[in-house]
Amino acid sequence: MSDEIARDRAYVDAARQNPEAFGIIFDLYYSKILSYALRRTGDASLAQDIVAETFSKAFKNVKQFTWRGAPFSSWLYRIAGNEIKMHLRRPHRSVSLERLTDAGFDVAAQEIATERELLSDLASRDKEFVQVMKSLKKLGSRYQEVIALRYMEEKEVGEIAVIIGAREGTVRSLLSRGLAKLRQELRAPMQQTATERITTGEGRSVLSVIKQN
Amino acid sequence: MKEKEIIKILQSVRGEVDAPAHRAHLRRAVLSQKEKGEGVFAALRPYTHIISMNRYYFSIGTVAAVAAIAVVVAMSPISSGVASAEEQVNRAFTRAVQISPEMRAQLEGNMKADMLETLKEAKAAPDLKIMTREEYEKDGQLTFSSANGNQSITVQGMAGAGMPMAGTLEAEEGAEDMMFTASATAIPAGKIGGATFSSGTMVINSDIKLATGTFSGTTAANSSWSAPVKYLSYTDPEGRKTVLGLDENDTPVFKLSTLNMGDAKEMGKDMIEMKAHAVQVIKVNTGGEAK
Repeated sequence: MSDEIARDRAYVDAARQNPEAFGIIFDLYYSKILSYALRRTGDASLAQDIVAETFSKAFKNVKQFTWRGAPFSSWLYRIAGNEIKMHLRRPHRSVSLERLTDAGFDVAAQEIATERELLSDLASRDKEFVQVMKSLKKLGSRYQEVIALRYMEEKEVGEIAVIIGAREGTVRSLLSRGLAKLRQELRAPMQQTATERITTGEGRSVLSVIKQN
Repeated sequence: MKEKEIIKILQSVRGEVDAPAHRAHLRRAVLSQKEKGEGVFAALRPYTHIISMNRYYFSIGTVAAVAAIAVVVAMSPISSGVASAEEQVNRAFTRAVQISPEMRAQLEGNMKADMLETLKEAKAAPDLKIMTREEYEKDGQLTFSSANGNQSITVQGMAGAGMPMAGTLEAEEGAEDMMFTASATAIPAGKIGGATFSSGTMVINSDIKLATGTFSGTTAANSSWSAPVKYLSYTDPEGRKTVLGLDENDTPVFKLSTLNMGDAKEMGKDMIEMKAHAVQVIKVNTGGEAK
């Protein structure tokens, strides 16, 4: 991680000197943050807006950024995480790319719309994953965040602690309890389905599957 | 479903997605924004408590204080254009990320080094310092002795237009062979040095003449190459003395790393190191003419 931090330091220093140098940070982390936002929200359009807000805020505040022993990307994940939380509280938001741009800005709407469709397709392709994510979204945002960072973004506990601004012990605890809650949530819809099937006379085999689990 | 299975499902969607059109437009949009507090008010932010005490009626004292601060800022080394070595690296970094990827690749090809990695190691080096041209010329001079110690060849690093000697003297057979051969077969024949090259100026002074008549080396002569006008020196993570040359726009244009510049005993090792930084082919015949 120290190599990554050293590299990021050079990039951030350059961006502080010259805003155009922020472009290299953008290039480096755009895909990571987009992927994170897409996995967290399952909504391509929203994910793109979150990415836009994240980089917009990072760009504006890069001079105020302080190192906390983690790569620069941790800060971006933190901003993105906050944006996702804000969306969860207040789902209807403006479209930030359009908001970011001046009136004359060419948004290349068609291309971006096509990309959104592709991303949406990607986000919904794996039915099993979609089912898990549906259940994950029922948990508190803190649980969602640490589980996503740990298992989908492959972040170490230490880095997650920096991202969410908590102690490592808290992160471990959130992970443990979060997974237990997620398991419960996943069991609930299956039981509900089984009950529905029993009432329609086709549930015995489903119930046996639930017991095995 | 067991926790392990849940984790496996979550992990199954790892990987990165991209959206090139959105990326390109967002990049442009983000970079065209103004930084927070950019401009006059950003400079005054540390003193806003002074100003906000009386928003509309500035006292003469406050105005004088702000004016004094402005004078101090204006006289600071940063604003006076005298850059420290670290600032110089930052400028070079900014420049490096501004140039097109094609141009960067071309320059990196000349330097035989990754530009951003080089700047990163320079920035991290505890002994990073600005080097004057005179210092570079002195430190960059290599003197090689022949096998019996009677003959020597001196390659002066910088001369004339500031051509670096980085990576020169790469023999067709390999640097070690060339130098070995040169040492073994050298015969006194006056000077072959003083050769001036059209792509820049490089002076090769020598007391020896190569029996084979020619040797080849590498130096820079590329349309994208411009002579360095600033030099930074530092010790790289592997302990090599390194000189980084920047052109007038702060673009890194050459890098020279040697184990021990100027030390004939280290010549063989130096040449191997220098091979990695070779940047142009030159040919010198026994009469000292450049082709």
